Amino acid sequence: MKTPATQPQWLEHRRAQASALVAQTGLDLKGHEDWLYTSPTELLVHTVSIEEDEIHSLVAEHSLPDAWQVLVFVGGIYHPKLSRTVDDPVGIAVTCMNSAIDTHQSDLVAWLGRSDSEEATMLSLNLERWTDGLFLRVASGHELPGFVQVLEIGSGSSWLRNLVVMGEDSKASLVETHVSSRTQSTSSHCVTETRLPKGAKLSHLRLKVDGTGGHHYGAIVAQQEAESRLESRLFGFGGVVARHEFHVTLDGPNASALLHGLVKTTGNEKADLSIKLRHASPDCTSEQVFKALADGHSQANFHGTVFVDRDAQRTVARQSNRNLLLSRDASVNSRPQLEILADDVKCSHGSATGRLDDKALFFLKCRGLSEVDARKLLVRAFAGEMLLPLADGHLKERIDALLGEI
Amino acid sequence: MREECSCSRVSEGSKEMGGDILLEIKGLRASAGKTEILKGLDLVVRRGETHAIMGPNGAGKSTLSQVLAGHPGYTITEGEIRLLGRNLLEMEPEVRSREGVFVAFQYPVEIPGLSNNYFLRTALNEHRKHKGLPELDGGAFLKLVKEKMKLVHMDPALISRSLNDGFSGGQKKRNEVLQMLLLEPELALLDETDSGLDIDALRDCAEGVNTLRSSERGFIVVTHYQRLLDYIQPDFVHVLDKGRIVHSGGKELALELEEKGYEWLTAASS
Repeated sequence: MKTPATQPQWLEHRRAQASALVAQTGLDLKGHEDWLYTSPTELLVHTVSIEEDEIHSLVAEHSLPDAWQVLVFVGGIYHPKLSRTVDDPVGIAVTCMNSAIDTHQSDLVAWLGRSDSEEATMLSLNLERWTDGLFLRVASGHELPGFVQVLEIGSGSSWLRNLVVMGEDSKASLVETHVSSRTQSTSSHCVTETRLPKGAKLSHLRLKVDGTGGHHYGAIVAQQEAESRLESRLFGFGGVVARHEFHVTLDGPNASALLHGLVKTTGNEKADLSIKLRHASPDCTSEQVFKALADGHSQANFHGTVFVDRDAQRTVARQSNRNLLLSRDASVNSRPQLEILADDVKCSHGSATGRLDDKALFFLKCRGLSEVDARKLLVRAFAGEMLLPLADGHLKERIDALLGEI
Repeated sequence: MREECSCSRVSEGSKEMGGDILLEIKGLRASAGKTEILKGLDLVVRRGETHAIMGPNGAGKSTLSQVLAGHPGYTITEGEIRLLGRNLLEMEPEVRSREGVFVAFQYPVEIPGLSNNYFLRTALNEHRKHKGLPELDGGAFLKLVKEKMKLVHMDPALISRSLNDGFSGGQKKRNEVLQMLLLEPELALLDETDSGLDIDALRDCAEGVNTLRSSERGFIVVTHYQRLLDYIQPDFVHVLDKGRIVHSGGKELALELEEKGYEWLTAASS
């Protein structure tokens, strides 16, 4: 974090405002409407910094060769030597937030933390504490030549804030990979914030692969104007506790959002999915598909809320939550929620939790597949809907491989 | 009608009766829960032979299929099943499959999200590994599967769809026969493959089976109706009733059953 002496006053002020919001609620929120199964305190644990060797091996393993640029953050700070960057083409800026404080101050003043919901305590805590992150700016009508990868190596406690500033009819694709030490206790916090003006299109994917001591909080906050399109996908694996939040507001006619999330939990892991999607304008479309695969003694929780404002007529909102219990001791909590004030809407939600289909397992075995392979195929089948839309490449192969590890 | 059927084929096996015993079922008793369904079933299938098993509803036809496949829901209380002399009942379902037993199911499962292509290739490669053959890569497999699909007049587009997901009855059964054509089993049992099929699908499935018939393989065709046996001509016809085979004969027995029903046989067994 920039020390108070070097950080501009506006930023100091904004951090102080966020801090005051956190103080109002406190961090022991277990039992709060939005925190039924977890508490922020579970994410704020004693942590350990990881060794240099492991950092290098994690970067080698997870940096994507097909990315246009890779920005590596270790313990919440940009690490240029481990990154792979190019000079910015016209209309595009890719840098770290600490530089952007100087180079793109007006953007930061205008947008940083502006879309955060004041009720979301962990967003406020992140705004108070962030130390670095990606700053991505795409001017009107411009498009990134490829996707940008943010690779976060969790070490100790880390606080990242990514800010994506897009112009009208611009197009960008961002992949975040969050990994942590295979064995050490870490706590990583990352908020990606964006505002999509008219016609802007952002494709966002977050892959989280934590080691056995990983604690993770991740959120995407998006404010969408007319005809903009957001696709945000999450794939979460491993760790002790993970909390994934989506805060999306459709605030202009014909904006659309597609939110996909797939988490796999094993051992004693706990994963929370919390979605707050608001239709604030008419003629917007949203589609949510969230799935969990829960094994061992793990717990996967889903709380998905769709708000439809009074004026948001002709809203189309679909939400689906499907969970697969892979062991007797795993558990799942699903809370789909619709709050609709408009009267001309098409909203649907569905939730289903089950086990691997015995009939399907038997069928596959009758064709020569071992129990383990048959289970793998069924897990793949369950996740297929989320994998299918991904472009072929290293990332898809990696996710596929992570799904195969059962 | 029968004489006109384009795919009727007199089994060469009929001249070679007495080939190796492929499958031997002796005094088989099997229960589902507390209900005993198979009550001392005997059957011997030699290489090159095709056996039809007919019988009224509830006779135990489907149970026989499931027991042969190794369904965990059935308990074997007595008797034995041997495949080429080896104890089949000790084998897991996947081992039975790799050892050459294939059961074409009456109700094939649908698995949304699992591509038919990926499933079929995985299954075939499991079998190839078991036989010590190299696995087929995506390209080589696709070429092979497209050839086999032609044999059962299956729409090539179905290869990239999810396994049986949204398939019509005919498409599902063609897909079962396709699996059989790929896996080339020693012994195949077709469990009411004809049920719910229109005449074209029936002919395509039967043709697929006939392509595979040889002096090396054995077939068991479980059916309610004589119609299928016009296309897959059996060497033997057995009547299963109340868990036992109560009557056996040649292919003409199927015609007789079509005409007279089962009562004249089943009454005697009760």
